[in-house]
Amino acid sequence: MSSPLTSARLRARLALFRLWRLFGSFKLSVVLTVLLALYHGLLAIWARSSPAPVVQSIAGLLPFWLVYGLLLANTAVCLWRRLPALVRGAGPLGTLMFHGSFLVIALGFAATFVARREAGIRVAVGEAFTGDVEQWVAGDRGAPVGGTAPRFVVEEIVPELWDDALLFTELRARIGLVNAGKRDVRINEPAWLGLCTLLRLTGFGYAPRYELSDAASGKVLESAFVKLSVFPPGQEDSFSASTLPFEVDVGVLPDAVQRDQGWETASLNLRRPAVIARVFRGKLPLAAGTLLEGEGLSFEGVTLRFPEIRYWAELSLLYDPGAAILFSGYAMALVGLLLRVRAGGREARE
Amino acid sequence: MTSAYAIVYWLVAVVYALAVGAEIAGQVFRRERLSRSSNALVLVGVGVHATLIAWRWIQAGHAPVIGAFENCLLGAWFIVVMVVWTNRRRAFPLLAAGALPLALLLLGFGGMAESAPSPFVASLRSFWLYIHIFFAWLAYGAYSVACGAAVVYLVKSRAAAAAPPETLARLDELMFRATVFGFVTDAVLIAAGAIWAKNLWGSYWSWDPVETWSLLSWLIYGLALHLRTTLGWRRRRLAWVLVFAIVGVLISFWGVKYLMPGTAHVFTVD
Repeated sequence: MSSPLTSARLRARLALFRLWRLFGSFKLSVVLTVLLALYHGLLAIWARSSPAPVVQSIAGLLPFWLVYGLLLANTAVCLWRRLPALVRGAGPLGTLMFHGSFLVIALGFAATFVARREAGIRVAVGEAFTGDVEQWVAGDRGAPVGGTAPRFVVEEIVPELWDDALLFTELRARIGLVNAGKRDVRINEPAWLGLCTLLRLTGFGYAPRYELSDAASGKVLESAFVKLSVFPPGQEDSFSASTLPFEVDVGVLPDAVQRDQGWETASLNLRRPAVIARVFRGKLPLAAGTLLEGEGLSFEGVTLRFPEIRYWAELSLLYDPGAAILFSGYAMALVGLLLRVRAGGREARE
Repeated sequence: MTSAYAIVYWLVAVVYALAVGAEIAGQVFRRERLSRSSNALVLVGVGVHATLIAWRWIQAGHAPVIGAFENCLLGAWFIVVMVVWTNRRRAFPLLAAGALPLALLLLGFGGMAESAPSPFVASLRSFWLYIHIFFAWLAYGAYSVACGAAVVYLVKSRAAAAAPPETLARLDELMFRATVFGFVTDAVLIAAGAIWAKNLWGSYWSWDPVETWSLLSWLIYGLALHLRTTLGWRRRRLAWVLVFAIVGVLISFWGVKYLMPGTAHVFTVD
């Protein structure tokens, strides 16, 4: 007669064995895959009435990860049980690689989920990015990689628009990285600064240089570039002079022409820029006008000019250690699939 | 679309429709000549269709991969080419009748869509776009062939006296092989899309409805393959699964645009 302790141990071992067998069962894979398919179906239907962030948060709920977790555990157990088949040639190896890649992809997802960081940077042409607080987009301040941000200068920004419609046929920035040469960054061609870090170009705008000078002597009192969100034309932004008590509301006409109705822009390309400026002291309007390059607007003893307009680029510094792992998983899956298919074809011919 | 282009476009659709009709009539009335003429019509259609693609390429100044019209034009051609290639030895009677309606559906849908050439915008200028789209059409072409073979199998296996067992066995094998090919190319499509998305949006997966439905379709085809290889689902059972599975592909290509707003995928940019 067995002791109660031995019997409990046996029951536990039996339960573990059953669990192991269940997780190694292909039928469980079918059930879990059907569940996942249903879940994805529901998710896709949900997307009909809800915006993307809502769908993303639904995708992050526990039942979703539970099903994925179980499927991964199921895959891992099935793989372990099939390991001896490795010696039998390319076909089983392909199957193992393909299913094993799910675990690598899951690892990539997890690494992204835990460690992905992104921060926006705004720098004008000719400006060196030094990592100063004001160069980061508000709310994104600080290098996302946890270490030092790369140092670079934006040397050129080239936006090309299609037939003056708001459709970019080219948006490129040339950046000179300190000790790492020059790189072109396009809207869908980021610069990889390492295995896990990339620099993306996400937008651009106009940075006019304003100049406040003494109306009588012509002596420049204050001058600086201001990065404004005034693209596309019609949009307005404002800035404050740093030493004088003036605020200026600004709009930019990149290709200004004067018509009967007033100033308009003939195209979206920066050919003959004009700045629409309204100057205030507090809430008191002081002056307003449309200024071409070199033209001035005088008020309260000073003259405001915009002698130059440059582009500024919005770049995004992204650190994502999961992407490289995930893409390795994709490669592994494809190699596995090809091995399996090739071996399957050979088996069929034999 | 100029009127000359529109005439040729719809002519191609008519030729394919005639080919489907001739194939069915050939089988129903047991006229070999009709079946042969169906084959000839499909070949003529493919040639003219290729000319239409080249014409559009020159007209737009870029590969025809932008917007519903261009995607349908190219996609329908891929389906027909895959049907022609699969059936090059005339081993699968009625396959054209089973698979070409999907190409016709695409042509019809494309013909109704906005067809003015769109610019090749900066976000689309990527090597990965070509990989993504090329493999998408290989995958969808293969799935269409699998679905067509499944429909033919279901029809032929009902009229058991009319279909010799070897024909059914060949169709069964074709369903499986086309699904395997589609599954592999679909995997490349998803991987290339993720790499492109990573470059463009900074994130390789964002639960966009098209992404979700593509994954769903891939899962369904993966399931179909496992059902066949592990649980031994063959013949009519597999055929029904494949007929059902094409719905996922149709939804990820068409349904999402109409049913689920907010997708950032290419064929909604028109």
